[in-house]
Amino acid sequence: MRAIHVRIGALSGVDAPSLEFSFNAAKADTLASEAELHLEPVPVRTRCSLCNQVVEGTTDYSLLCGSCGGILILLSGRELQVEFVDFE
Amino acid sequence: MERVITKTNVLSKNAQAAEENRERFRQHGLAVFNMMSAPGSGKTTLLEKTLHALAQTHKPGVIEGDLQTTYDADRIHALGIPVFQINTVTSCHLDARMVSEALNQFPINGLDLLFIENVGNMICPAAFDLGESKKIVLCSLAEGADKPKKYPVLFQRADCIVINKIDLLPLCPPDELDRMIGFAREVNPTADLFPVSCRTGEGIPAWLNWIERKMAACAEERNVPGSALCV
Repeated sequence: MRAIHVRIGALSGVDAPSLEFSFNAAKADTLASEAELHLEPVPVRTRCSLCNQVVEGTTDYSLLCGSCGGILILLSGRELQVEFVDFE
Repeated sequence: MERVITKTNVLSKNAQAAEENRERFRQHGLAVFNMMSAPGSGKTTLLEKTLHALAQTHKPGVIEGDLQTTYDADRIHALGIPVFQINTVTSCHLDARMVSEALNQFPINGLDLLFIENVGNMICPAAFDLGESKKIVLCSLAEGADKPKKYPVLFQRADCIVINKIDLLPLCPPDELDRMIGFAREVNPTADLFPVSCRTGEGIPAWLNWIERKMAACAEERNVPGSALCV
């Protein structure tokens, strides 16, 4: 196994550096001992239920629209998904 | 080099176990509430109040999650309510497999309501679906008004937010409760929200009413396979 590609959402509840740290510790003496972990960050994307504005990225995790105060619908950000694995 | 496309959720095993639990609950017509908070917010005390009120008209049961001890289960048992204690020993949250194994030892036949009290922790429990009907997140007033903003991932997943210990308001800054509600609304504008005091009983009737409404919704779904969302 050469690489594992994981999509990791900003709201997944998993911290990317911690996942990397534990992966490198856990992979020893396994099929993945030579594998690299590729983490693809998935930003929070929201659409406002009132003004329909789509916003990418959030700094404060608010689900209220910064423009009109409407309720935001989460489009992405909760992913924690193994996309593909490379073998040789 | 060969690339295998997996597109597998890292937590897919948990998701599968959670769906099996959910189907089991649905077959029993059981409304299941996953209660999450920091240690000491009052989950067990709210449970005691709730069970005391509902035991006359319903058949509740409880699964308790703690690293160690049966203290919480002992308190529930003292009320005459069926209870099962999971000791996670070192793990900081419950997962669907632990609940599934508990269900193999804890008969839910005859129950119409099940509370799962998660391990006191505001981070990891957010990521693990247990198969519950609804997620309830508690915080208490003295924890600081900004708690919902500090732990947004958990609060964002709540169907219901309970702010406990509002009897402490005279000891807090005067706008502490309003600020906590405001912060909770920012991160989760759609959850039902109940400020309560388990000590004085303030706000408890509205909370009990919410539980009853969600139970009625789950009971209606008993004969509809694959739907356990309990609107």
